[in-house]
Amino acid sequence: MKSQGKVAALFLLPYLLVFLVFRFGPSVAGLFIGFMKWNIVGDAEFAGLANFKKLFNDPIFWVSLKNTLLFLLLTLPPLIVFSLLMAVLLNQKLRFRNAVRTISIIPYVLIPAVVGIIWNWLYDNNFGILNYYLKLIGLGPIEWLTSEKWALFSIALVTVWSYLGYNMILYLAGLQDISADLYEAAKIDGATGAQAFMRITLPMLKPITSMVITLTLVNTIQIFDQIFVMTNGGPGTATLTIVQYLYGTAFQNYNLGYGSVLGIATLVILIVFVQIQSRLLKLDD
Amino acid sequence: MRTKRWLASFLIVMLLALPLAGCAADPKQKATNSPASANNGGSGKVVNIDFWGGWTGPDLNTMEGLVNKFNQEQSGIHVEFTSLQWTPLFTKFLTEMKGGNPPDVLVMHPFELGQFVEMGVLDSKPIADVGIETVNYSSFAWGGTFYKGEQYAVPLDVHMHGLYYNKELYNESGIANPPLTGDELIATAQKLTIDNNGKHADEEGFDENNIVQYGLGFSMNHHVFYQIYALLNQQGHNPFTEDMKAVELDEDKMANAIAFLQDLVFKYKVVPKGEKSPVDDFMGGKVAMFIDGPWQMPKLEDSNIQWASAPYPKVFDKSAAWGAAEILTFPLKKDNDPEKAKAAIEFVKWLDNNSGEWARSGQLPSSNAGMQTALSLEGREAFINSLDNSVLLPSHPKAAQIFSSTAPSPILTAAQDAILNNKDPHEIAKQLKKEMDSLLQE
Repeated sequence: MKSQGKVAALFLLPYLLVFLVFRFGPSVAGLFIGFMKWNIVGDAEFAGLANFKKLFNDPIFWVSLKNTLLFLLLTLPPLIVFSLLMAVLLNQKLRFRNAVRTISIIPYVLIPAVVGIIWNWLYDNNFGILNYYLKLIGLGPIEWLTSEKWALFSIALVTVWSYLGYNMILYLAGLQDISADLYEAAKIDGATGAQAFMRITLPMLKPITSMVITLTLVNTIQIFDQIFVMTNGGPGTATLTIVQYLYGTAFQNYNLGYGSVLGIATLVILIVFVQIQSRLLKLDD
Repeated sequence: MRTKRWLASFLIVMLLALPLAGCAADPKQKATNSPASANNGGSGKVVNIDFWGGWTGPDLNTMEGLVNKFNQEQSGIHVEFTSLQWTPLFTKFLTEMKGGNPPDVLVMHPFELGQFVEMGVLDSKPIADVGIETVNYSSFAWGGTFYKGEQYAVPLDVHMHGLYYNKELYNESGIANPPLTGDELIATAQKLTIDNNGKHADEEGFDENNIVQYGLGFSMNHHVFYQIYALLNQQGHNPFTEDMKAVELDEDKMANAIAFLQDLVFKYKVVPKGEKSPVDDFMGGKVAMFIDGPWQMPKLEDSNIQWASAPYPKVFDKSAAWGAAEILTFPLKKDNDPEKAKAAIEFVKWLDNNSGEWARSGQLPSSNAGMQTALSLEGREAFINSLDNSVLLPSHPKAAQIFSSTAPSPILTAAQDAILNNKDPHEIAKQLKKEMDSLLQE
């Protein structure tokens, strides 16, 4: 048994090393840099809590936080609900279900920059295909990416389109793990399809749901690529999220100290949300 | 239990996320020339030097060709060329500088010079050894190589806004010449803006909701601010200086500049609101004219469009167009290797002497000799003619922040408030001054 543990540790070692060097180490360093005034090139000067104080008095941070939370609100519920519904549907014996499953995952496979470029064309105010059809039915044109009112929603829509298939695959795997005996027994007891879904499917999928929510939280709170390609944080600051702001602060303005504090803020927000979801789903039960 | 749960959350987030480790953009556009140590045929020592630039479009191929040519022409120096997008390029530069291994030659724009000089990462000493003289360059390009009276760079090229137009669409609408003034621009654009019933923007019954061809296009990003900057200068006002501590902005003149651009979109309806890619719309026949820089020319040369160019129109009292440049700098090297320093100077001299070939990239060479080559190429003349009227943004130490092209940026907010949100021009002017002053005082 002991030697098995050693073998397991050996298998884990390469990943752990990479994790420590490229993720944990820089993260801890980021924590220290948060207390510094540093422009990469010069010597870092100790700045005490100045960067943290700035965070609370920085109106742009609060705008980026509001945008990030709004983006989460726009993407998380549909990414959970619709992916589950799709998974339940594609778990039935339907024609072409394998083809539909494959097609569903394609948006996730595309790199976000490509997704951004494709949707930039579709969303074009004047010559985009979406506004073309909207105009045909007497609606629109909608200023998808160039209006402060619509821009964040438009990017949220693309994000849902992009990640839905991936979440669906996770749910599908979870559904296939649920024993058919349970549904058989429920049927004998006279349970309806809806009752079986509520009493068997949803509770049995709790661990998968937790994982899907955690992954979605991490992906959406850290959203960067699509916004970078589609709106670059604009118009104005309408789509400026915390990570977008972090990038500009640290790598465009070379303010590593404040950039690190924005990173710490992102980490704290993520931990709080993961906590909330774990409490809501009562995973310890 | 509670501690355990929080610890678990922390570890999950750490495993999945990378918020503190930074998110430096993936240099997807990287282009490199790997060293060929056998370059000298096995005899003599090859000095390898690094040359970094921020080209990602068709101009990248032209520069790669130039570097390859240099490497083939002689055997003592091998240039390893790296090109990334500008923002990750400068982040990489500063990181490598900290690590003691910066490139030997780095390309940047004049407005970025001040911040890097203030950081102490550029060396002005090699400039004297390159042996350049002011008489051989346009004064516009030459001026962009100085910061606080000291020369830190060798001019490579210049670029400015100009007006491209579709000659076939001009003929169809009976337009003989491109517009030279603001009024002519509006009138020409109205003639070229057509709805789905064939009516023009200045005709009774024109349907603004079903426009099939717009008269004019321009990028609705930070380039709108560049146009505002040109229009301020056309009114004899340039509020931005190398050493400003606050922006001395004439609100009325700023409002005039903004209002002119807003009217093109919201009053005359000759510019598509929220336009993303004017050059693509132009090539697709959806806009008849567009305002952009000379770097678009290689793309147009590869298309079937019958195009020509004209200088940026004179809307107010004076002619002025936003302009910028690319300059060759020498990062400060801690190792101080004299052979590398000499090789870097040789390479920069060679690039300077061969800048005529660089004209094919669309960029206009800074040297008079290179400019002559550019003159012989289609479409360049109009841009070259507006060289004396072009205005650079100043090389302020905080230029990266105050003139940033990505949000949150004062100039981007002003540009988009003007052209996308149609906000009051005076309010935009006030907001711009407030945001810039705040950054300048930090």
